[in-house]
Amino acid sequence: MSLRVLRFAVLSSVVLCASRALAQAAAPPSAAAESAAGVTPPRLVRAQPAIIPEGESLEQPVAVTLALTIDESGHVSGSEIVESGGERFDQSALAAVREFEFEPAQRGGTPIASKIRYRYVFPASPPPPAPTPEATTPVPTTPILAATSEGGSAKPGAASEPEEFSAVATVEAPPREPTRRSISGEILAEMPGTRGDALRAIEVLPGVGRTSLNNGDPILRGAGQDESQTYLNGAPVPFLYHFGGLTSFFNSRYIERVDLYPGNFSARYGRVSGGVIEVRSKDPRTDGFHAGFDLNLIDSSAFVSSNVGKKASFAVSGRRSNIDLVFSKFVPKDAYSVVAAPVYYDYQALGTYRIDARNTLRIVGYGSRDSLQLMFSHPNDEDPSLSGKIAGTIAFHRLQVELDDKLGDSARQNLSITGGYLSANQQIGQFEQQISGAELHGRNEWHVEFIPELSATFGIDFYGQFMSGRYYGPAPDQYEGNPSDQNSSLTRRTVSGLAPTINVIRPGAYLEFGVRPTRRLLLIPGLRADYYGDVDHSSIDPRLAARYELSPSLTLKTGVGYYSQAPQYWQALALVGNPHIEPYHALQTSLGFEARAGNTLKFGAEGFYKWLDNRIVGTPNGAEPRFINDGEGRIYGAEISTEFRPTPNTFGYLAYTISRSERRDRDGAYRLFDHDQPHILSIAAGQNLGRGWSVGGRFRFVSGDPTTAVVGSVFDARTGIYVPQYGPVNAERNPAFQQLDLRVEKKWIVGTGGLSVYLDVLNVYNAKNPQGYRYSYDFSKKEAVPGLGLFPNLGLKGEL
Amino acid sequence: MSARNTLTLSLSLTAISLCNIGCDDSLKDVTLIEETRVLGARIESDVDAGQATPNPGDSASLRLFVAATSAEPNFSYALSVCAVQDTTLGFPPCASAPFASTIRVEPSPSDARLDFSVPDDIDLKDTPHAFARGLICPDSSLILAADGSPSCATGSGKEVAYEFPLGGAKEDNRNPGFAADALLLDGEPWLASTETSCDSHALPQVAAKSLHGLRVTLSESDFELLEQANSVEPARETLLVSNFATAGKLDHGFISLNVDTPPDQRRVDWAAPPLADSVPLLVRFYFVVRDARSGEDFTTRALCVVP
Repeated sequence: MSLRVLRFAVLSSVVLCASRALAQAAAPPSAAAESAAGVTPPRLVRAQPAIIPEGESLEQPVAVTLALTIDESGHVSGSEIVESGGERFDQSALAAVREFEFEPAQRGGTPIASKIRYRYVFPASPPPPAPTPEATTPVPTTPILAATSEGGSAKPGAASEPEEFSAVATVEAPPREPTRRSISGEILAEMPGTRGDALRAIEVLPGVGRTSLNNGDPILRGAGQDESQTYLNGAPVPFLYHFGGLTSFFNSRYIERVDLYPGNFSARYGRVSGGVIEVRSKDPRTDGFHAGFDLNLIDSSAFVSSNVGKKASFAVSGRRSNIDLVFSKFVPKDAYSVVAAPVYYDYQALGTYRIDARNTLRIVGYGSRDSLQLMFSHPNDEDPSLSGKIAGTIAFHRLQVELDDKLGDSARQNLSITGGYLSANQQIGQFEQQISGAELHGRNEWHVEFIPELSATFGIDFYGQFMSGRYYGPAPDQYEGNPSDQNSSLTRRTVSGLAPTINVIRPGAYLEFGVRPTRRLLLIPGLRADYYGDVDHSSIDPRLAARYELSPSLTLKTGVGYYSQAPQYWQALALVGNPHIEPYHALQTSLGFEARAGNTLKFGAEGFYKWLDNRIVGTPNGAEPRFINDGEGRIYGAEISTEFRPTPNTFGYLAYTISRSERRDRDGAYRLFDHDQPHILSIAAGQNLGRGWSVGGRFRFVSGDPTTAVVGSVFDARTGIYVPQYGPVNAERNPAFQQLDLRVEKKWIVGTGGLSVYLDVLNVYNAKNPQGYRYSYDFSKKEAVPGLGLFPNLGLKGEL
Repeated sequence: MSARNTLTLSLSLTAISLCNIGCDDSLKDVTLIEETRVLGARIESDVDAGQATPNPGDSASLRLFVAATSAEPNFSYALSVCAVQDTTLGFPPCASAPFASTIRVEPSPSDARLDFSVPDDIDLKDTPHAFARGLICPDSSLILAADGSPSCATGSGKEVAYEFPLGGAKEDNRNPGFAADALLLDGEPWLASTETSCDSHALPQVAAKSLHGLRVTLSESDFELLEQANSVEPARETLLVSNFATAGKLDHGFISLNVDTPPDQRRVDWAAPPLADSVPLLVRFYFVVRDARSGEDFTTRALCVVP
């Protein structure tokens, strides 16, 4: 998410804007050092020389432009390459800027975090002498500045003495939530065990559980997968991963940042009661034409990007899985034939147009398609409904238009509209589902800063889904906490046939304030209202977050809020659901702190408690009205997180969560949630070894999911299959999950581009990680179903 | 089902079935009769044995099809039947007390059978189905607890359930049937037999470890016509045949048949077992045919595996 600094002025307008702000140094630095409203950009007080890489002979100057994040203490807390000067020069510049010290940016005399563009120019010079440890040639400590307000190219050439810079400086507004955990930049792409998938990198963050067989979106603080939502640039996406867990749907190359809100999130987000994952796409590069590829065992991708004039840039990328190339080799041919092996595609097209200094237009198009088709020679021996064709295809295509509009010095508007098409087709023998139609999401958000101590955000958003199709299959039932539904043979289910038209219209509005009664205390009261047109219900959700800065290195935080969850559309569908079902709610609370030790260590701890009310549960035996609001839940626990960066070339993450997640259905006793995972431990570390080599590792330990024991079976003479009889729901537990992943990468500079080879080894010691059990036909015997074993993914990346 | 869950379910089911079909199934072979098992059930109206849906006031019988490794399974049992409402999931609970029940306390090779009369006053709108539930105790006597619940004196027994529609014009259904010449062994008629050993050479003989094709033929009339809600043209029933053997290996357990299923798809292959001591082995085969509306029939065959 872009960081902006807002130039403050007192407004008499009642227009409200987003809590982010943009400060602009439009004049020479000294003149821009203070704005009329008391915001000053950071000032460099100590620079660190950058070393010309050994053996390099510069016939022309080499420029490296970086984006630096400067924290409230003036240290560089983050840096990434914006315009590369080549791998070795990039690394040298990164190493140097991380040692810089600044006077931090200030608002009203209070130090605040900020972000600036910074440009190093390595001047042309003769080759250095033969390398010895002492013979390094420092670059003059005179970085050339990104002189234009939009960060365009600066003139080459080194100044002879330090100058103050002028740059586009952006200030990160204080968080609107007690807990926001972010991963950005190179960490996203290089996290071991993720195959370079940015959206899998969140697995190292606390509060993020896992699902068996990576079966879908992550579990956030004990909430169900359908109770959390992933957003791309503020618009909800249908799902996160291809095939329920293999690879995320958006190429990580164009992800700038992933923010995780495990709970107590801002009033900006609604209609979910669990957590939020916000993905921010990256603007295409503006430094000319680039192209590249990534080939590995799982998928292949390619991209091109370029600037168009001085104000615009675009990027296009596409990806296709490689699974189908080998799938047939592992399929028993006498059992079934493969009509279409599993295959996924995704594509992204991004365009940015900087209309003027105040307005930026972004257009993002993206899409995804997963499909699979098998033909069974004979009905399955244990469930004859599995016969004939088994096929599934899910696809969506989206176009998002976003306008960032600075209405004034302290007012801002962000308008985004996302429209698209979604289709989901599934066939299992005689049963089928075909649903397709349009989706629409819109958001218009205003932010205004009245005075430094008071800001407000007002927004309206809309979600609509207009689908139609047909369905012939078992009537849906409560899934979570219902082993009969999860493991039931389709043969025995009563079948419904319908041709539904699904119109889901859900507008919402929100209002949130940022109040600083004292310099150290920030209060964020908010209110969100939603209307659920499909069930004709509404909800009002008050929320409050607070942050208190005990010291520059220690912040206390807390939050309390009400979060309403929309029903799934099929739960409210006539004939198979209950049109009178209501939304359900969660009351979330949290309390914790964030601490830092210099620039190398961040540490945080947080406790949370959530009450779930009015949960939607199924009726006994699926009797009418099929679904009712007669369930409850409670989730509580604590998290610790540590981020460690002892050197610019080293990173480390450690996260641990202890928690308990329980549900109660109708008048039953409390039981464990299907994905209650009391212990989640994630440790990740990476090291840049130099000379293009980098290594990393990740270890995860997650408690096994609860499971319901099969205590017997009954032979159903009508269908010819056995029906399992269950013990208490979720009274037993699968073995714990543990996995070590390692990554090694070697990069080369090739001409003006680069080439890298990487090896991601998943599950290095081949832990079995049972995901559950499969049973004999009469449920008298069982054996564990192993998870993914040792898997080496070798890849080759290249870029011009 | 949400878009998010759609493909996940499809793929999960595929993964499960891939594992079940493609993995080395070291658990249990569903087609192999290794113990006394219930394989099917059939309702026969007293007026017409082919009628599978008795009306209120009709007398009928429920028969269980029980298979064992020996010629005659030896077991005790308890059965009861009650009226139930429609349910979408799980076994339906009884709407009232069972209207018929039977027990056989001591084990015997006789059929398991429950004779009953459908009460005249059953409201078919409220309780359109009947539900039979029972327990068989192989080689064991049956014990009734004080509350009437049955259990086996030795072993855990085999629970069985069977739901069937009660009569009415819409629910009228006939049992499919195996004719005498319904089965072919390697293309030759394979008739039922009461032989209990290979000594008389009256049974078909096959070599140990040889491969054979078993084919099922059903009468066109067994594929009853079904009304379709969105078509004037009625559809034909699909019938499912399940097959079992006391030895050897059948390559799959179900054959799905339509009226026009070609002959090569009405077939299941069977691999004869090796003979441990060159003594001919009598192998029994059990076949059950089902429609999707509780109509069933069953039959047995036998052959001898010789060295």
